[in-house]
Amino acid sequence: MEDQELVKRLLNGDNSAFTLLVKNTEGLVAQIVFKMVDSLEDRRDLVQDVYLNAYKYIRNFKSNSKLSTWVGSIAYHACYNYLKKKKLLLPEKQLEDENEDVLETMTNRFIDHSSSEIMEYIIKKELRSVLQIGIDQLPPIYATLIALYHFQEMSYQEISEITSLPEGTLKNYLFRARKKLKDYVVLNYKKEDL
Amino acid sequence: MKNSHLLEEEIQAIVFEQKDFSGLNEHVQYCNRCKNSIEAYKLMFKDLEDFPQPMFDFHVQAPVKMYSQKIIRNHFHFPIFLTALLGFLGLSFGVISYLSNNKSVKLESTWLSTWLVICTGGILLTVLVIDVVISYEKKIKALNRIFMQH
Repeated sequence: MEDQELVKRLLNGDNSAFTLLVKNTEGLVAQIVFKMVDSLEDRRDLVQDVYLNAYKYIRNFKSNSKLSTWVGSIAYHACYNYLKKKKLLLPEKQLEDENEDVLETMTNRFIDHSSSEIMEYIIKKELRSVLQIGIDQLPPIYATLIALYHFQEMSYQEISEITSLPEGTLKNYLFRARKKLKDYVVLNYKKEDL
Repeated sequence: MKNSHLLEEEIQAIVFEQKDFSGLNEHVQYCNRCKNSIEAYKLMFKDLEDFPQPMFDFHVQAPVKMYSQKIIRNHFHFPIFLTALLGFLGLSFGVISYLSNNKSVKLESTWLSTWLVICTGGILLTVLVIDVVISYEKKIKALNRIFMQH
């Protein structure tokens, strides 16, 4: 269903349209909220607020963006304000800057190890778990950008609309996030075996 | 062909930007360090869409349902309607009694005006209490319905 039609139905008080809106946007909102907020209780409150605000202010939706992007933007800013209030914004859960030579050695080993075809399944599974921990270690905004770009496969423009970050800043943050993540993974992946 | 190692920005651009970097690609073919760095990124970010999607384990729409029910209920609010009606009747009665100038409508006897105040107050209080009880029951029913659905 087109966004415009959905909004029209919502404005006419059709509650089934709201269920559809939740269904269409829940994945995106979950990605944002799970990456930015650790506390389960706070997540619940934030998400319920996000959808309540979307319902209350649906008439403010401008058709020049996608409805999912608009809801995503409400979610992102709710989480951003939450982090700001809790003074958790960009906490540098610092992934220490390793020596370049160490990183190079570890990267080479990481690649050599991963090229074994027999181990492919196990490697993939293990890599995922290290990657997941690595993403959780990133500052919340970096983790969110990784999730939106790589998991949700959104464009720079869409992410920029959600986060209100200029595209240049967004690319810079994404670059730093990937770099931190790669350094974490090559240093921690099967560390005990390498 | 570039002779020095690629910058991290260039490595990420090759992997993620999908543009033509022929000069850089040529270097990568002969440089193991840069090649491995590129492979590391590719390996990490491959198949990320298969990652388990986070899910909420609670009903995200509950407050919206309560809010929308409140709006519907507010469209016709019986106690407010009744209060307005009684106020209007009282005002009309006062105006008529004033205009008739003690001819047809008299409020000389104080017991009548006292009982008028007591009865009006009593009726309003009863209606308000009934409304509070009804709205409380509706909210409880709505919550029960939401949790049962969930």
